[in-house]
Amino acid sequence: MSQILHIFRKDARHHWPEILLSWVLVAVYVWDQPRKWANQTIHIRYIVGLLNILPALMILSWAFLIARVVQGESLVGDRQFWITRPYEWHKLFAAKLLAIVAFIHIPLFIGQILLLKLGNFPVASLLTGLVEIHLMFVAIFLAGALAVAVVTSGIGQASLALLILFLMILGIAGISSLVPNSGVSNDADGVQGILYIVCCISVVLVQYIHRKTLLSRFIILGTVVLVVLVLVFTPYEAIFRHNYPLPTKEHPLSVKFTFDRALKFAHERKQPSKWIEDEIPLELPLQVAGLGSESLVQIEAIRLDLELTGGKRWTSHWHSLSNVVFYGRTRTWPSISIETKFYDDIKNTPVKASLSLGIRSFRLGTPTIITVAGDRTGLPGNAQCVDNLSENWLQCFSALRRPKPIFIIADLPNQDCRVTKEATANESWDTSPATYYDLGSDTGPDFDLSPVQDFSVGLSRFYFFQDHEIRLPVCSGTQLLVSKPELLYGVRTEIDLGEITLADYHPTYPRKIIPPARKPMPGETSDSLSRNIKPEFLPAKLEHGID
Amino acid sequence: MLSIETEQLSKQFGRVHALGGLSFSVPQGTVHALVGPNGAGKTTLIKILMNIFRASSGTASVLGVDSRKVSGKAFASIGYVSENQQLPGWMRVGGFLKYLRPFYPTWDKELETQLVQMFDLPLDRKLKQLSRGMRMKAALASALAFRPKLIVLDEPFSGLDPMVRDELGKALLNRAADTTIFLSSHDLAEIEGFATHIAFLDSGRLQLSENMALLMARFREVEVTLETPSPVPTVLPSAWLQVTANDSVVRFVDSAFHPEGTPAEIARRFGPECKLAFAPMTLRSVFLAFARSNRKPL
Repeated sequence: MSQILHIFRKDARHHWPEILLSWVLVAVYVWDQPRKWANQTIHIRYIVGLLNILPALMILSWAFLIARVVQGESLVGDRQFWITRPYEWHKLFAAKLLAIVAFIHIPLFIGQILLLKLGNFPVASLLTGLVEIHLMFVAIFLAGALAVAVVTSGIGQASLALLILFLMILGIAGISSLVPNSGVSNDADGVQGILYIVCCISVVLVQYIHRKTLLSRFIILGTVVLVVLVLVFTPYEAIFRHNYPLPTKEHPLSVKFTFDRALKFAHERKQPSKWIEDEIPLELPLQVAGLGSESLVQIEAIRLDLELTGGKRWTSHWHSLSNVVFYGRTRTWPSISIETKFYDDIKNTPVKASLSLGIRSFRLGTPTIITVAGDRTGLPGNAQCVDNLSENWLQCFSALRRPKPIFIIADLPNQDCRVTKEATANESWDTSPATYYDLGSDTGPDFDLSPVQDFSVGLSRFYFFQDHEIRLPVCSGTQLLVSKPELLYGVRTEIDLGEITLADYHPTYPRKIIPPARKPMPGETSDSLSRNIKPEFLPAKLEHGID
Repeated sequence: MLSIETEQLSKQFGRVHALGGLSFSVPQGTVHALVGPNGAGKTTLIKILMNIFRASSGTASVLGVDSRKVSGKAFASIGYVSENQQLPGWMRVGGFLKYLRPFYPTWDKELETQLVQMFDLPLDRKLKQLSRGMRMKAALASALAFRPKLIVLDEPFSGLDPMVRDELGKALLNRAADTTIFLSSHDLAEIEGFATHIAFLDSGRLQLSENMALLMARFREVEVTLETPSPVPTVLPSAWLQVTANDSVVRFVDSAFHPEGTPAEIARRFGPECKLAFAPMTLRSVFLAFARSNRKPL
């Protein structure tokens, strides 16, 4: 232990400028966060710029500090004085870990506790979660920084290694975008994550025990190759089919989708938008029916099949998507991108088409009614919200994690809480209930430097054939129906689109749907009143909005 | 008792054979010098002994420990200094010695003070600000102050001015009584002064390893003056190196000189009437003769 402390003290003496810098950045971060919560602004541009990149600066300062501390007893080369001195590898390693804990984790931990205190959260009950965040921090960032530090002999080399790794990550991301169906399965991500952690740990141990730099660098290179191989050879389609089987009696399709042939995009300008150069987005109107008031579905993947002239078939890969459909939705517009060149060849030719969707079904738990208060409104997960009427949302704070999964539905707009001018102008019959949802999983705390999650809860509803979404004001006294969706199962379904012309489904900007939506008739329900759910607000008696 | 022992030690770097089947030993309490030309494998051998390199084959032990396990605590008994060693330049000399103290249970503070005075080390100067010679002295002080059982020095005199060499030599001699010193050097004149044993390494192969006094005793420059010029016999003892003949004078280096045996052998080959002159050799001339001849001595 004395040798560990001895090396640690030496590192503390030697690296005090780097340590001080990282501590100052943490202190500034802790000072800046409550300022952001309160939406206070600073009017000096370069300070605002610096504060915006503060998390990146903190991470850079830590990476620099780790490299400096580790390279104080460099593990690369054979001429360092310490390798022929009575250093014991495990004590040297422990000293470096102690330095990382003392110089990085403890100050950050203290800063995070301060932030929780400033956010009025019960610190004692959150300590375990804070430790979990730090463990994630070790796995995601520190392990990588440590691995780079042990295979390089100076800051220049370490920077070069980081640059090379960054380029490799970009390359892997590029390859990923080329691998069919890779976007709809996260299974490869888990394997790649494990490979990353095993690689980092192996490299660090090999270096501290044996100082075999060449071997360590080969391990890193080998891991990159393995990651690419996993990326390329993962059977995404098979995994997808396994995760989203065809509906059965036990796992039926809880919603019925039909293609709405009546709706198309107008092309007045004759100039299709090319906001994605190589690909053209298509949006296909689907009518939604049969969804119970306690159900919710999320369209997670989409695939388009076309039968071209001459009987040739064309099938896209599975594309990821995140369209959420709930009780009260009558339409949804799933989007898929196809290659511009292919699109240009067939855009005006009628083709037989079918759409495949991968769907996750959720059951909404028993809802809790929460009334928005003037000052503070509590949400599940100990989140506290204040009404931000100017932005039409509730600004919420929660400790360690956002409340997830969550589904909120509200009787908006209502007499006390009128719609904005924009929404009034856009009002039509084809509206949906005002909702907010986050269908993320509820496993552990969110990985973030700040333990106080600052997020907004805005309730929006769809207008114009449910193509256009507008956030509505949430006023004091508004009742929120808050449920916790429970994931039930995934299924896939196929929708026959019949014969279509692709050009009709490529949106132009500004978007214009034909035929135009019908305006409310005089005497019909005012747009300032709810048409979504009854004023009584009883979950059991939820009624579909007027459609 | 042996401080260092190797058995068929070999090291290859790719296709290059840096060491080939080296077997030798360093007895405890000796000052053992390892000499040889550049690229002979001296530093490679020392790095294998210090477990900086791994041998390709063969074994080596240092203070009874397998060289592959020489690490950590084992270095509490070994003082290693190399000309290329990277010291923590940001540390001051005093801070460096102070930092190293707790690593060694046998650190002798008094000896440290003596060494600092002897080497005239500026305690408040940073190591990176020191000249090469002063850095070497600082490294040596740090390697001697804990009274190691074995001192291993790789080219300690390289690039140093004569005064510093002299000081280093003296410091080593002071320590020679109660430790084993194993050093490599090009500087044969420096070694001659205090080495008790010597090993000659050439192209990764050990040419000799023996007691310095015995080596110096068995090498003589021999001049034989014949009464009448006569041809040199074609078959000569293998211990006679660099044989040259000029009229009636034959010169050679006898690598197995014996005060009685050598004159008798010469008389047997050249006749009893020839005149003989034997001159002792410097270590330098011994190795020059040795290196230039393509023959292995006895």
